Amino acid sequence: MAAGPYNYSYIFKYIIIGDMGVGKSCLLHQFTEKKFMADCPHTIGVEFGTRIIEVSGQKIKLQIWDTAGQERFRAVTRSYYRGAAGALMVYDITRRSTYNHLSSWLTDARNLTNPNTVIFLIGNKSDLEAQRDVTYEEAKQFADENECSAKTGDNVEDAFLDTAKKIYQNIQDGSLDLNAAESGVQHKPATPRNPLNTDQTPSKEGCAC
Amino acid sequence: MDFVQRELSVDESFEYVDYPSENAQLFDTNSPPTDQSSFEEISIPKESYTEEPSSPTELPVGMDRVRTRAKPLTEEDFKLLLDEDGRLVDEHALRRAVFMGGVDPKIRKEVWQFLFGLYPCTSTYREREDLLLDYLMKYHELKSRWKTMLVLNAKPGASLLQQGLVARYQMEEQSNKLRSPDLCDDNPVTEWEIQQTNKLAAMETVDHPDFSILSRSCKNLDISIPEMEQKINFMKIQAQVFVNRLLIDINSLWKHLRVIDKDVPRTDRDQEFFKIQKDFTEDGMIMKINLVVMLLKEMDPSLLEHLEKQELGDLLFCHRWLLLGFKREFSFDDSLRCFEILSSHHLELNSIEAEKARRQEQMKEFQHIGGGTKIEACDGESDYTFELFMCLALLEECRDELLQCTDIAIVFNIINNLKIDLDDILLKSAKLFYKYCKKSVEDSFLMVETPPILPKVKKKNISFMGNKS
Repeated sequence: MAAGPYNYSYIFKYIIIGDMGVGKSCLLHQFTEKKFMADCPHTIGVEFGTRIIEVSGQKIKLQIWDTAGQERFRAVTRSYYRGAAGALMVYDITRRSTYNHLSSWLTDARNLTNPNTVIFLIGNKSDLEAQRDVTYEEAKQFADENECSAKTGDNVEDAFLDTAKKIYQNIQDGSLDLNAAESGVQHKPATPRNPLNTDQTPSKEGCAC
Repeated sequence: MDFVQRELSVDESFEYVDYPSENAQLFDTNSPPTDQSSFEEISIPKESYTEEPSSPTELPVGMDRVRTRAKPLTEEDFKLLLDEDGRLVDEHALRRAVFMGGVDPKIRKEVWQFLFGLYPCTSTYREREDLLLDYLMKYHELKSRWKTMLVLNAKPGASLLQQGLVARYQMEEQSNKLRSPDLCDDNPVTEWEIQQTNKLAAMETVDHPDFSILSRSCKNLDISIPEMEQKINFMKIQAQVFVNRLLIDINSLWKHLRVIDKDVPRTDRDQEFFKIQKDFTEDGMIMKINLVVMLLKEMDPSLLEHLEKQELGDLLFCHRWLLLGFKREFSFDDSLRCFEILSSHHLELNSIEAEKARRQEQMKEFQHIGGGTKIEACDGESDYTFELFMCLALLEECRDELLQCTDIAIVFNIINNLKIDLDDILLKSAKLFYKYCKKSVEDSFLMVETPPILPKVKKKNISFMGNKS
């Protein structure tokens, strides 16, 4: 991994939620590694990914919590929601059941995060157009969503970036209180490895995880 | 080595019972160690603990027994455990051998059949053949019923392929609605169902159970449910649950397994069933995690305190470990070994090993305070299973890192990226286990010694049921 100095002005905590097998881990992997993970094991509990992105000239470190989708252990998974600035709610466009369950995921997300948490709907597996089970229009009625494919990488970037833009916008217009403990956003953290760096130093682009 | 000698040695001392094998190296703690670094002083003479004054730095008694790990149980050694008719005479010895080193993959199938209670240990070769046939019949009967149910639940006029697709992809949604002739008394099996069952049963070919197929299937996880079902028998379903990769409703599967199972009154299997089932229910998991919290509180309160400050006092991250016996932490082969070692239940608080350790501690403590007080066996919390001690050992393993860290995400990262050596962590867990035994005895003596409130000395019924000694 690049050992060069990097820094950022904000850390945003994201969570990825949705039914088992919709491709949450693959989305994360595509976003952080730009690769499709073909043989992805079930997530147990939570896994992590980070990447630094840039929004309106600000470097933002996304700390992404990829949760397990198994229904059986919702109570355990629920403990990871707290303090998320963004929640990516994922379903699989080829499996209607995963779409039907969105309302329960949304209820969880609403109840367990703060009111300013940006919830973003993602229909994954858009490369499997032939097996489509949920139309774009239908999902559009449910929410403004983004269809993407963790396999081809289509729109994956946008999903994460759009969410970050929205969070950043909330910070700018003051609707997100950075001082609130549960905001999910940390401002200007000290970088532990390079404590002498100032936030203004130019940094390397790209993935830092 | 003959059986008489082994039986004697069980009661005779607190030292290892010699493993009944010509291969002296396997468990003989007096043989020269192969790996000097992992070995220190090996066996403390039997009498020494009563004569030496106990000091705080002294190793907890019993630790000499877990100073090293053994090689996997081999076929030859396993054969020695069976008598001429095939009875497993000394189940304790088998469980100990499995605990100490796991099982050679070649005989894994056979050993697991005893370990998970498929066959009673007292059964002979011939009895097992009969039992197997019985299981096979029941298994195929069950499978046919399931198939019938799937047909009944498919849309009218669905083709075989469509039914298959329903079975394969819609199980999750359908499972609640499935009509099960086994579970609903008010829903009698119809004539039509019986016909369907017979038709489907006729299509079946009875495969001889072959455990190696499952092992392969475990590696190739894309194998379909119908393919899998063709090849598994009752035993394999149990292991299949361990693998936990199929999109079937595990709970209903278990309920159905119980139906087959109820004709065979085996308490071992019941216990195993409930133990494994715990992993698959939320309540069971949370209960287990709470036990880890309690155990950590007793053994390392400062670490728990630190984690509580980071709002991680619920230790929910242990979920990853406790689900399927640390499977995610090891390679495939090691995870199988870990699973059988945990399932041996050799070292549990209600096992004879723990009882020995406690008795030994009591004698020592008794000597120490010069006699006078005599109490019943201390109250060990027998809900603390060995896997919980393993969780504790893992937490201790990254203790320093955890204590330094104040960011929840980093805590998770530490936990998720632990590099664990199975044998090493098993040794450490056993050490903690004995430490706990020692501590619980000391605590009970402490209770007696501290008036003015007269403590309630709990009388513990040490149960040996789970360990078939």
